[in-house]
Amino acid sequence: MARHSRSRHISAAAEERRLGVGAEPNQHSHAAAPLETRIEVDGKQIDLRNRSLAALLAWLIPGAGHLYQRRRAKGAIFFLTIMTTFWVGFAVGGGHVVYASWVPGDKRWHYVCQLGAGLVAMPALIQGKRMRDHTVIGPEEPGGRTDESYRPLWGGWMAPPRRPVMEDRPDDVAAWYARLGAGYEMGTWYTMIAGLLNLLVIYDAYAGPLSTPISGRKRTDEEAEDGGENASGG
Amino acid sequence: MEERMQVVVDSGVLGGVVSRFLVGDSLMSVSPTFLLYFLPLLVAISVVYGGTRHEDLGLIIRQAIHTGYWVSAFMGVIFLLLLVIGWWI
Repeated sequence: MARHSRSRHISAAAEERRLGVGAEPNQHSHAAAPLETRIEVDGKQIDLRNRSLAALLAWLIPGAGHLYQRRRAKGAIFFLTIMTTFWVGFAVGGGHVVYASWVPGDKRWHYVCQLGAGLVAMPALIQGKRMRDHTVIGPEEPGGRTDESYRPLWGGWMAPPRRPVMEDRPDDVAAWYARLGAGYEMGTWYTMIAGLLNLLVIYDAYAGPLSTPISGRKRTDEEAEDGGENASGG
Repeated sequence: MEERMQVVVDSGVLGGVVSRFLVGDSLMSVSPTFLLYFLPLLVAISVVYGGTRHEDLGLIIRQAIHTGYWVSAFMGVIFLLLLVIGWWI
């Protein structure tokens, strides 16, 4: 039975192209070889297809890049895990933990991480644009003041807090904390972590798994010899 | 119940820690149930990390368990370290 390979192998032909072995000398002999799309990991052949498209799909919908590459089990695992984490956090946060805002007093850097989850976090951009259209900038309040006619979309989901946002005054953020308690913090962390985890998934879709030994033990001489035979295309 | 707690307290440092939790004098600034939020995150992080390291499902699960173990152990060590520091301060 073939040993599970814990190292990535490129095909023998690709290796020859990379080393220039067997290639006829011409003006393209020193040009960079195209990225290999077929790799082998853990004894399985993977066709990465269009890597950039796979990475884009993986960002927009976690796991979609893997489904495009016909890595269905992993695609399903990533989709369920990341989406569950994101939506649990969103629910625990009362729908107010994902929003786009960058004004004095409310620089929501967390949204940069949440945006890693893709399409699910993008409605916040629409809500943020709507808020900016209804905010009047004044000298007394650098972040501006939201006018009374403002009504957020979708029941306020992913809508930024009304301006001004001041730590020493009762505002929408204070009200969310009061109503949700620790749920607001945990919801923020859950959605951020979902977005950050998707960055790993995007890389996996683009370049395949970063296969590493599970234990820290060194490979035995026998394993090293087997790995050398596999690398030569045997 | 109080007799049981007394036995635990008399058993030494570890008993003292356990007894403080039993009587509700938590050493944390948040409720211990807050730690339950950690479990789904641990599972998610471990599964995704394992999935991005292997292609074989068995190896993914094994890597996920390994990662979960190491994350928990690391956090446990940090917790104990902060606990000891808290006693000194």
